[in-house]
Order: sequence, then structure tokens, then C-alpha cells
Amino acid sequence: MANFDFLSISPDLVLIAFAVLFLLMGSFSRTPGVHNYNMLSISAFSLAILFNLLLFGSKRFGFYDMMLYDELAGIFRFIFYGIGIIVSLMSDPYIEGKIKHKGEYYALIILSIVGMSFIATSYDLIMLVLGVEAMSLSVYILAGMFKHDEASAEASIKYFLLGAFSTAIMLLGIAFVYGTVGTTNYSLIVQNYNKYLHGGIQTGIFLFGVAAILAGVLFKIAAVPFHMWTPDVYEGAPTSVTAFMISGVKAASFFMLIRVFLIALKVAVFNFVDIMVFISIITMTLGNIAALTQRNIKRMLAYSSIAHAGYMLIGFVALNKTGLAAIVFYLIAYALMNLGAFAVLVLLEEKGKDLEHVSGCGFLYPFLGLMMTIFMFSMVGLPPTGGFMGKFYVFKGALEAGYLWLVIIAVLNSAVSAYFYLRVLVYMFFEKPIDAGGALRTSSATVTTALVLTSVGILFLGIFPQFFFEITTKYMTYLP
Amino acid sequence: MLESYVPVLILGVISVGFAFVTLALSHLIGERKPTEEKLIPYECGNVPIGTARERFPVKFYIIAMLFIIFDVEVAFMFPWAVLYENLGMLGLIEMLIFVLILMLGLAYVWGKGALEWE
Repeated sequence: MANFDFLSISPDLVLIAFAVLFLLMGSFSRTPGVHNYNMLSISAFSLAILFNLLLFGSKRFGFYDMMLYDELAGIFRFIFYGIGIIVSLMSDPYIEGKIKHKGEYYALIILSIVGMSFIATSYDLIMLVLGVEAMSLSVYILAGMFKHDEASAEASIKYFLLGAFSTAIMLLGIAFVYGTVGTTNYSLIVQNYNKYLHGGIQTGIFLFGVAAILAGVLFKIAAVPFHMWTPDVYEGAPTSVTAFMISGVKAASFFMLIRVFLIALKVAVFNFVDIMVFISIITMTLGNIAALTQRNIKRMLAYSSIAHAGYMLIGFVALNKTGLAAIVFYLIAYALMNLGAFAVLVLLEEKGKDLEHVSGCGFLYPFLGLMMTIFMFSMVGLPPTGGFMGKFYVFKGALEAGYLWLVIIAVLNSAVSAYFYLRVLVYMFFEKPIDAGGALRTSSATVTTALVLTSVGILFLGIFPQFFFEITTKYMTYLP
Repeated sequence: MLESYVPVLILGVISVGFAFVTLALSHLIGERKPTEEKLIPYECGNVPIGTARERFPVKFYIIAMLFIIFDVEVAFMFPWAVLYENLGMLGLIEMLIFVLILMLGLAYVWGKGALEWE
């Protein structure tokens, strides 16, 4: 069954072609400064979105059934490519003059997104690992792109070592699953489990494998027992790369969780619900409490991303259509608000990275102040923003599944988080600027575009939530 | 199926035990007459000149990395060459794509100037 369905990966092929072009441009061009890599990268992603749009709605198996392109994978491709566009928009003024190899920077972002897209379309654990590695290896390098900045180098090496370790654990789990059911194909795993295993003596080995895979996935989404790398890596990496990691890698990892555990390992997923409840509670609580004491905004947002992972896991715990569709909705809102907040930080970072350094910026730069207000409101979960509707749908799913107390804990957590998110706004609007004269170098048109796109997106998600939620509910066909 | 792992377990136990026993025995009953020559670091039989903690030019590492890539390429080509008849046209095309990607990488490295020593 050599079904070489090149059409189904055509968006990725376009992106790979552009990435190779960027690499060759970066190495052979004698005038490295003149190329508009960000515009080229945006057109690459736009082209990929166009191809994906043409494909959308079809369901295609391909490449010896190692890939399955379905509607949800298509939706996630849209998310990844959209993240690619916004990251490309906000990167250029930030890395200008700081990174010598700009072609490589954009090529790595593109290749990482190709990896995410492969995760989204994987239908075989081997393909999944390939996608995860393509995504992660690019991000390891991107995190260390500021070669002369110690924090950046530390972030890169730390992320690489721990990431490699977590991939090893995940591969071990895959080996155990393969050892018991004799296949890595998603549908065959379910078939063989029902045929040979089904509660027999080897089910324990199978479950051990599933647990190891779960550990690898939880590492990538920075859930609590495996979250240690997150603050250091997110703080140390270049801000535009952090925005990419916090939105793109997180979205891909959550989709990996949904896809693997609700297609391939759905026979085992109910064994892990109890522990996932525990992980979800401890993840959001630790993320929020640790964020309370942070002075560095990037580090605060890193802890906040841990907390958000906790909220999203509630949707996974619920394991019903509303909860799972809510994760997708939440991910879109989460990606938009983080990209937006980091786009503001990209502009403000010249002033410094701590809360004190943004003092008074709200009135000095009213546009940035307004944008930051929208993003922070969305992170707290205040209407009318996407963050509010995301939380609402996730909690609704959990209530439908009967987890009232879990929702109460999550709402309390949400209240705690208001303190550190709104504190950023307090510093921006109610504190005196520390150096009023220091005008910002950049008020870049591309970053402004990114800010407008993300804020409009968040408000749209908050005011007309049904539009996206109906789409995600309709296509959330993976159910246990 | 679980039973079929028993030989692996036995092998593991025996190999760990063997290593432990040999080390312990030679430590316990072995005779030790340390001399100055015996205690210096082993450098393929040559008398060491200076410390081993030298600083290498970073260029060596680039060459080593490039070598690894093409070394792995050959490792990938051997099984393909063995099964060339069975894989047929499909295998040939896939290998061509693989080599093409590596060639692009080589072109990139060349353009970056990583192949120039100075």
C-alpha cells in the first residue's frame, strides 16, 4: 500500500522548499543585509495556508498509512502556519543586528513548523517521533541564537539536554507499546490490543509504555513534574523565539497529546484520568503561585504558561466532546495572547526585562499600553476576550463530565493569577517612568501588524466565540 | 510473550555479575606494584609530552561534525545497496532524494565557508 499522497503534505513541501532557499540564500548571498527574509517567510506560510485550504475537508491516508490528514489536523496546520506568520512579523526588528544568520533563523522557524505539521498528520508512532524531533531540534538551536548571550546559550543547552532525555523516555515507552502489541500504527495498536491483550497479563507492560509516552508528552507541554526547564529556557531564549516556543511548541504538544491518546492509545486513556486530574491541579497551582513572585516579565509569563497548561489539561481530563474541543479553542486564544504579549515585550525589551523597566510605558506608548491591557485581560480570563471564553468552555466540559470540585480549584487559581497579570498593567500605568527620555528605537510596522492581528483575533474569539467553537466541536472526532 | 524476556534478564544478570566479580577479584587478589611509568596517562604507548588538556582549534569540531553526517549517510546506504534489487526504482528515488538533501547541506556548508581552514 505505497500510497504516496504528496498532495496531503504539499503545504509542508512548500515550506521545506522555502527553508532550503533561505539556507542557501544565507550561505551564498554576498549581501546578507538586503534580503527581506520575514516577508519571504510570510509568503511561504501564506502559500502553505492556501494549499491547506484547498486540502481542507478531505480525509487522506498516505505513505504506507503513516500519515492521516483529517479535518482536525487541517485546523492545527492553520494554527501552526498562523503562528509562523505572526512570529515572522515580530522577529525582524528584534533580531536585526543581534543575529548574524538571519536566513537560518527563519529557515529554522519554518522547519520547526514543518515538524509540528508532521505531528498533526502522524498516524504512526515513528512518524510522531520524527515530527517531534524535527520540531524540537530546530527550537533547541533557535533558543541559542544569541550566541554571545550567556542566558541564551544556557537556555539552549538546558532545553536540548532535558528534551533529548524526555524523547528517550518517550521512545522507551514506544518500544514497550511495540513490544506488547507488535505495531506502531495508530489503528493497528487499538486492533491488536483488543485482539491479543485486553486485560491479559501483558497489559501492565503496555500501560507502562503508555505512561512513558505520557511522560514525554507532558515534558513538552511543561506539566508539573516535568516543568523544571520551562522558566530558565523561556527567560533565556530570544524573546521572539520564546513567543514561538510558548505558542507553537505548546500547541503542537497538546495536539500530540490529543491525537496519540485519543486515536492510538484510547484503550488505555481511562487508566490515566485520575493521575491527569492530579497533574492538572498541581500544574496550575504551582504555575500560578510561582508566578506571583517573579519580577522578570518573561519568567512570569513562563510560569503563566505552566498554569495555562494546567487549565488546558482539565479539558483533557473531562474526555468529552466539549472539553476536547475547548482545548483547541483555548490553544488558539492562548497562542494569540502570548504572541501578542511577547510582541509588546519585543518592543519594550530595550528598556529592560523587569517589571520596573516597563514603568510608565502605558502612557508613554499608549498603543502598546492598550495592547498589553487586552493581552493581560485575556490571560486573566476577563470578558470580552478569547481567554475568558477558552476557560469558560474548558470548565463547561469539565462540569459536563462531573468534575465540579476541579472547576472550583481552577477558578480559584484564576483569581490568584489576576494579581500577577494585572501587576504588569499597574507598573505600566500607575508607576512613574524610570527614564522618561529613553525613546524606543523601534515602533516597527511589522510588529504593529502582529499586535493588531493578535488583539483583533482575541477580541473576535471573545465576542463571537461560537464561530470557532462550533468548528472545533464539529471536527473534534477523536473521542475515547 | 513475557516469558520470552527471561533470557534477556538472565543475560543481564550474568553480564553485570561477571563484570562485578572480575573487578572485585582482581582488586582483591591482584598484585600491585605501582611505578612511575605505570601511573602516567596512557597515550598509545608514547611518552606523554605536556598536559592532555590542550585547547583545540574549534575548526576540528566542524570537520568532525561534517564527517559524522557523511559517515551516517554511508551507514544508511549499505543496507540499501544490499537490498538494491528488491527495493527497485522506489528505493533508488528515495536514495536520490536523501543524497540530494545531503548535497544541499554540503552546498550550505561550502557557502558558509566552513570548509576553509583559514
